[in-house]
Amino acid sequence: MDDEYLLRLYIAGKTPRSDRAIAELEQLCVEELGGRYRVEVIDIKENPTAGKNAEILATPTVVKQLPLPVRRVIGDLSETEKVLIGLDLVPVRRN
Amino acid sequence: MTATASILVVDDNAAALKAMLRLLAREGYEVSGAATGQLALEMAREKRPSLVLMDVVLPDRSGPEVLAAMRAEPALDNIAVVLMSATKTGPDSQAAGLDAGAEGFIARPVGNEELLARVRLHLRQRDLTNSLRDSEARFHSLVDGLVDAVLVVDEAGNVRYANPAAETMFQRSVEQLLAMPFGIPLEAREGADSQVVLVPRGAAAPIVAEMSVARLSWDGKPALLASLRDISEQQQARDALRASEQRYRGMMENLPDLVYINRADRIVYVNSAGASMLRADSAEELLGRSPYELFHPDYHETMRARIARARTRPMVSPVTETRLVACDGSLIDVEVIASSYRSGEHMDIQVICRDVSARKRAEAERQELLEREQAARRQADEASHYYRSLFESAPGCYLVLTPDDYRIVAVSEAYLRATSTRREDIAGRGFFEVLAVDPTQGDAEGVRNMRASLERVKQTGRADVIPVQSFAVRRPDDQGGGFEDRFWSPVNSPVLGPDGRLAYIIHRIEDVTDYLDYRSEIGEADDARMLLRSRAEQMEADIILRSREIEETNRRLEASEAQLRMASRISRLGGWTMELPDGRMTWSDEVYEIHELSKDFIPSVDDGIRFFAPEHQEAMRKAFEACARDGIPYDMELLKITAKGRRVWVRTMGEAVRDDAGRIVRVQGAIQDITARKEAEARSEALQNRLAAMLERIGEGFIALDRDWRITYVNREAERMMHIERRTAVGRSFWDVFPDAVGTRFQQEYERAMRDDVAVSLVEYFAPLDLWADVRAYPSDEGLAIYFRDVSRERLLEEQARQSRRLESVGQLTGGVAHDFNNLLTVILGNAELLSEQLEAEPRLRPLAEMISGAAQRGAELTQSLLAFARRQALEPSAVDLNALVAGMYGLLHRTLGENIEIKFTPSVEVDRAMVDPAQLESALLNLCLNARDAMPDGGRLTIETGLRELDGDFANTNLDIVPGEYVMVAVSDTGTGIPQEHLSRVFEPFFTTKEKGKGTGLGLSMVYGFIKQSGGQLHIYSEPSEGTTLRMYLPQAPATEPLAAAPVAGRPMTGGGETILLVEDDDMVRRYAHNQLVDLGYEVLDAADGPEALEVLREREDVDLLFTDIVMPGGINGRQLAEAACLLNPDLRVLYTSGYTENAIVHHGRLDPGVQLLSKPYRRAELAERIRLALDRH
Repeated sequence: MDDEYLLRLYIAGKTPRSDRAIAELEQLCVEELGGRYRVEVIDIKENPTAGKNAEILATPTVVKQLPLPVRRVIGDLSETEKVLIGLDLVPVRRN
Repeated sequence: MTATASILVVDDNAAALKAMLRLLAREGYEVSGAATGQLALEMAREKRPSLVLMDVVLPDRSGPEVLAAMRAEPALDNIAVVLMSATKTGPDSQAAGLDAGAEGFIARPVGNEELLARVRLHLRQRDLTNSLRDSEARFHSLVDGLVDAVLVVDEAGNVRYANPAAETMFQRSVEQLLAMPFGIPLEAREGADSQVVLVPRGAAAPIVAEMSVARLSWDGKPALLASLRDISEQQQARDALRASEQRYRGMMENLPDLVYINRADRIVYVNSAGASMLRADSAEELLGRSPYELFHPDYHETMRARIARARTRPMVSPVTETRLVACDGSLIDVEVIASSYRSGEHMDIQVICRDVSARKRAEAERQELLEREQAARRQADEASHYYRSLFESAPGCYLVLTPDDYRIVAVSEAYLRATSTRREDIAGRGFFEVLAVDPTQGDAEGVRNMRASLERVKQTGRADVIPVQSFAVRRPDDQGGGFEDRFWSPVNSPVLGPDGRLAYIIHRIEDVTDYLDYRSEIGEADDARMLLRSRAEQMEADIILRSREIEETNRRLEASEAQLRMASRISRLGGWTMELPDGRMTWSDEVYEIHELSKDFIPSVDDGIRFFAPEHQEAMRKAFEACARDGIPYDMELLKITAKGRRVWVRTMGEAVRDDAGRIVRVQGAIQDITARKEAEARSEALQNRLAAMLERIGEGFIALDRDWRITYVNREAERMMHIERRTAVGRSFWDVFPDAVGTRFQQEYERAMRDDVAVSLVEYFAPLDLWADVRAYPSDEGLAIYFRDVSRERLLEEQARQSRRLESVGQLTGGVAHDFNNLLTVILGNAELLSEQLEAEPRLRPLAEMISGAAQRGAELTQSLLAFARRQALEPSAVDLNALVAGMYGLLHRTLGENIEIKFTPSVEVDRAMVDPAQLESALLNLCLNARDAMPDGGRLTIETGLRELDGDFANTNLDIVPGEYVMVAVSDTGTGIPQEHLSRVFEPFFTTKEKGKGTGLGLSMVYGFIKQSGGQLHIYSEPSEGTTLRMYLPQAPATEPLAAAPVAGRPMTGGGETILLVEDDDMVRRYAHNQLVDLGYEVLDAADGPEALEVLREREDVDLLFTDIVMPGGINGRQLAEAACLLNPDLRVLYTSGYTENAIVHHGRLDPGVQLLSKPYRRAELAERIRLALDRH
């Protein structure tokens, strides 16, 4: 599959808050990115090195790895518009 | 300019220094000067100038050196320094100066204007720099001291600033943070989760933080400020609280007791066990209800007191016993313990109720059964005691043996005597042990025979006789001791238990020693033995029978115990059992009582069924058979017919009892008389039916709501009034059925009733149905009962009555005022006219007099309008042809209304003549047409319609002061803007106007209204906003005999011919004025101030031609009475009345009495002249 977007979501432990962040990001991707995306969820509690390497200061953090430039956002992912702007993403609008 | 800036000028050239100082001082700056660098430094320290203008070349040290020294001192660092030079003006020098920290460089020579401009520029720059520095300092002082971590991130999400708190929270230095990307902080939408988890460096635990985001500008670029507040502790506390609450809830849920929480007399929590205890479908159903609903009314008072006490402070109340009322109305005895505690602003009360009804019932029944059992036991004891003593004292020698080991359980006195033994020596011992009484001589054969006989009894179940045996029996010591040979004839007989099995063996002996002795003497031993034997058998039968009775008693005891156990278990009254093997039934006393049978009746299953009502027997039989065959328990409510023919309702239950092998061996059950409950139910149903019938018959609408606002009942009247159907409305929310009531006073009041438990009543307009409803709502435990009545008609009548009264009182007032006012106006008007005539030659003054006259005239018209409204104008009704009158006005209307209003007149041929003052009617019509015009500023259609209308009782009912009958109608309709509903009721009030100020007097409609009312008619207005307005005048019909109104007569000489007039007027001014006028007109005038004076004059003078008199006068005689008296003195006397307003003296029912002439005040000279002439010329 030809993934146009690669997003990494950093969470800290399996908590309701993390679950919500995952669901919200998935929904955003489905609705706005037209299916051409890959989301990797990284739990820095299970994998502290990944968090250290990615210099994660707080969760939930979404890092847009591809396409460049790398951008990241922190916080409430329910505000789709803000997330899109923060990640510098152009939504695919279906007409 | 802001506060005066101070400037230090440093120049060694005294002339240049002076010139610059003067120039700057003139501009308003505070200036100081210095000639050397050293001095400049000192002055800068002392004065702290805003700006230093400094020559580059100075005698002691160069300008840049001084500048460097200043920059080295923090206190002087923010002073702007501008270097000046005439020689070192090259770019290098300037650059050097700027490098040294100068704000600017001025090349000399410099013009005054440029210098000042540069000074202003540098001062402004300095201000800006300072304020920037201040704001930065403020930012730092604010943010650095915060407990919250603050990060500023740029548009790429990189950290540009971090405060000290951030260092702590992230466990990283500011430098480390600045080197890291943070990401764009996303602001949570309102109400959403704004929490993030911070990841500190190393092993430190993550921190839950609340993030808020703000925009700001950082280094001139847009940036975001994320402030992060550590809420881990709060979170933990909240989690702990939630967990403890969940634990607590879980505990409550799992309790078998009812637990609820009372907050402000509402149930805010109830556990599910409680819901099922109260027979509620779910716990939710109980939420929001009043706790009082749960308890029997008998306990409410105590409960109220306890709740009040518990609300004063947290406490645990002692355990009390009370009674709950479940949702299905059943009562439950409970023990209650309550505790109160503070929860926010409330004092919550937690109540735990433990169901003790089963315990109480069981206690009571157990007690009763216990007593019964004890009685039975006592009876059995007595019986067994009795039979034992009977047995023991029987003349025969008996032993009772157990069949297993031949142990002696009973022995008769005779046996003891015969064998010379004591009861305590043999009772309980083995028979053969006792038999071997003589160990030295033991008769082995006798014992063997005995054992064989007993074995035979056990095998055959029949009595067994042993041939006569001889035994060596111990002789008592008092008879010499030793042994004695006795001959015995023993018989062993079986005793069967109730189950048919061998229970005991009775061993009887007959001492035949003496008989044998005798027999051997007479040789008839055989016969005697026969005799003996039959006697013995008789005895045996007796004993068997008796033992059976004992057995039976014991068996009953056991059955009673079984019933006790069963009854305790099922907790119902009246137990019975049926043994399956033989179908034998046992009834408890209650069962007998229920059947109204005496205890000697021996019941069977068929009997049990036979006593049920015929229609129930089949069901009962099936249930019983299923129970006996398959072990299916039953529980039914059926009708029984007792032995005395009474019908009683019973609840009957049955269950099967199985033995160890699982076979059904017995059916047991209970029946309970529930007639009272059934009757109560029937009564309650009847009551309900009666109530429903009553609710249907009351003339009011009735709707019942439950506490969730669901409609539970709608009566027929409510269906009719509210246009709803019971079928569809019941079960739905009241607010769904009446969405228009939401947000109205209805809602507020109903909610108040429900919430505060108070009855409410209100009268309110319900727009969707266009009716006024008089509503009373009564809250109850079930919800809300709403009674309502359509009072639209009453409201209308009331409103009309109120309006009539208001108009009436306004009329009274205006009438009174108008009277005095007209007197004044008469004088003003008349004199102004006179003055005007006199001033014909004075063109400057005459207009002034005319102005007075004009103003007085307008005042007179106003007064006239008020009088018209007050129904106090003098009307001269006559028969008027309405169609002709309207047609005659057509031209006038057309001119007045203008081109863009189309006038349509639809006369009706059936229109009869109206009895009305034609001049006033014209004026009223014109008035209505003008109103119509004003309502159609952009043009439209005006329709005038005539017709004949029957105003029936209905119309008269809603219009108070009208006599039913036929009326002539004139209607004026426009296609204008219409009148808003809220104004409709007030349009007839005087001075009520919706027109712009100055456009209308507000008297037009009032006048028309007063006129029509005074004419005995009715004015009706109908308006539809933005559609138009219709005003209908209903006028009384003229009697057929009334002649048509004559056309006004005109063109007659108006002056006097020397006739004598008696002028009677109480108002001095008016009298003087009228006197002059009449003299002027050529009459001879006699004056009188009141009636008696006038009569005096008339008695003296017979030549008076006309009495011109005021109507309302002091002196005890009014104008009318004066005229009557005067006409007696002088029959030819003519009379002309005048009045400020008319009273009943000459006006009756709105019209002048026939032949009466009236001149209304105020009057113009011309009117006076005309009416005097007319009166004199009248024949």
